[in-house]
Amino acid sequence: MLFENPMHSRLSDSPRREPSAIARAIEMMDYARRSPASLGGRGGHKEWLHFVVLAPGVDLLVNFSCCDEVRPGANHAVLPRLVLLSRTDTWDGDIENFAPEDAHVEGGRIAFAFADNRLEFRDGSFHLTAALRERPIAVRLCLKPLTMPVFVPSTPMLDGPPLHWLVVPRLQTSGVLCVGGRDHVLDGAPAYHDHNWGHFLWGHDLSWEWGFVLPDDAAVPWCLTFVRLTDRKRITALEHKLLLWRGTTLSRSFREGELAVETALAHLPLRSIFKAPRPMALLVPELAADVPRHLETHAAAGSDWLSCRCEPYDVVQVCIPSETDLGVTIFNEVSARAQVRGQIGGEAVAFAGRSIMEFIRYA
Amino acid sequence: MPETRFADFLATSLQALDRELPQAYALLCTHLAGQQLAIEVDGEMVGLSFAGGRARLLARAAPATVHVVTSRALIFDLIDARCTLLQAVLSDRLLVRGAPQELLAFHDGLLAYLHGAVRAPSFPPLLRAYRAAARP
Repeated sequence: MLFENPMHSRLSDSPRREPSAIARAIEMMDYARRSPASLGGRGGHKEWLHFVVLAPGVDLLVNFSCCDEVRPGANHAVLPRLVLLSRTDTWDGDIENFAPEDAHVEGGRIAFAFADNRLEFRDGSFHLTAALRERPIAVRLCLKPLTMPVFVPSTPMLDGPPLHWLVVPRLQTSGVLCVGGRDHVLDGAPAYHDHNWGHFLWGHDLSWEWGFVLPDDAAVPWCLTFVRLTDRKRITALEHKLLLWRGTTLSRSFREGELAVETALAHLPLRSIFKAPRPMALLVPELAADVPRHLETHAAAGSDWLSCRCEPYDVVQVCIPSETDLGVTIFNEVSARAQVRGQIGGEAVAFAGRSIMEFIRYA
Repeated sequence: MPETRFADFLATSLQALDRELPQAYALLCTHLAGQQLAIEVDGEMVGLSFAGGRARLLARAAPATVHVVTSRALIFDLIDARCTLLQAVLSDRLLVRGAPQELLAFHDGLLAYLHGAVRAPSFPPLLRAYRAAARP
């Protein structure tokens, strides 16, 4: 074990699970699916493993994806891609594509290698090493899951087969982020991980508002994630969920009719937005991000209720050329403060924390 | 062989756009139909005309509807987001001259070209070669 995990003892009110049980569950559920296209199956497959680390003064997003290549004129069947974005004094980072011959993804395991960038699950932790080619950012992390994963299968999609989601909302980090020659030690920082896969194209009739909240106080046993997936106009919800963990296990899930969302009518004012990859700023130079000043999710079912209010304070945009037309699909990665309160199974819930939300928009 | 001249880069990139992103190429030609551009990059003059759904580099300067004067340094600054198009125009690092209607068409055509550029698989190596040739 690379570091001790003091949280396990503090999060043990729920039935205790040994780390190996969490590790086994992750190995059994979080493995790379890979596209069936190479075996004659359906193309347009997308899959990514996403990590967020929230350390004092640092937001870090790392995403390993391997998607079927759908661009005309492309010489390859798949497009391995690394997203590495960090917020220290300012946002920096990049999105890098790799030739398939420089990338290896093991089906049935969590083992991604994109040139010298690695993501592997072993010894009960995610081990992640990445360094950008053209920006002075590198990271070496060990991310130890503190909660059991939850698999949310078969989210309906309007333009194709369903999307699948696996989430491990709480991990503990050890490691270092190096930005511009300065090391940021991330030991003990909370982190989030999820994994999505499915068949769809960016630009389809799709939007989502997703986020998670990790408590400021490591002794707080609660953490949560929420998602509202809608059509592009955000008129019809296809899925709406809020999942709440207590300790290592999922404590309560709220779905669709048990949930309501309120947003501020005013947008978050921004003086600048870092956009990645940088050339996309030529196509979407706007500072209007369509991110509300606050977003509040209310959940109620029986005697259980929960209210989660997120107040954004910064945004970074990942801008991907849409695959259905000459538009741009914009992922607003939103840093926010969160307040959570409620009552679950007769127990009061009240904590403050940090949140990253993601709002998909189009230009 | 690196593309050392802007004219070569532009010609090769338009061929790639036509081949790999015909939708963007067609949109570019539609926006700029009937236009003649005169583009000067670090003193190198390139003429470009649009007719019949095709873009054609001109062997010699011709009367232009839109004149553009800029530099390789600014092109790279724009691509690397060190500068926006608006900042480039306001700081006179990008000079664009023409009738308002034609300038609007030029802007729309430029965006169509860029939408193709960020999608076409051939563009990253093409741009790398152009950058490499620009290094002292």
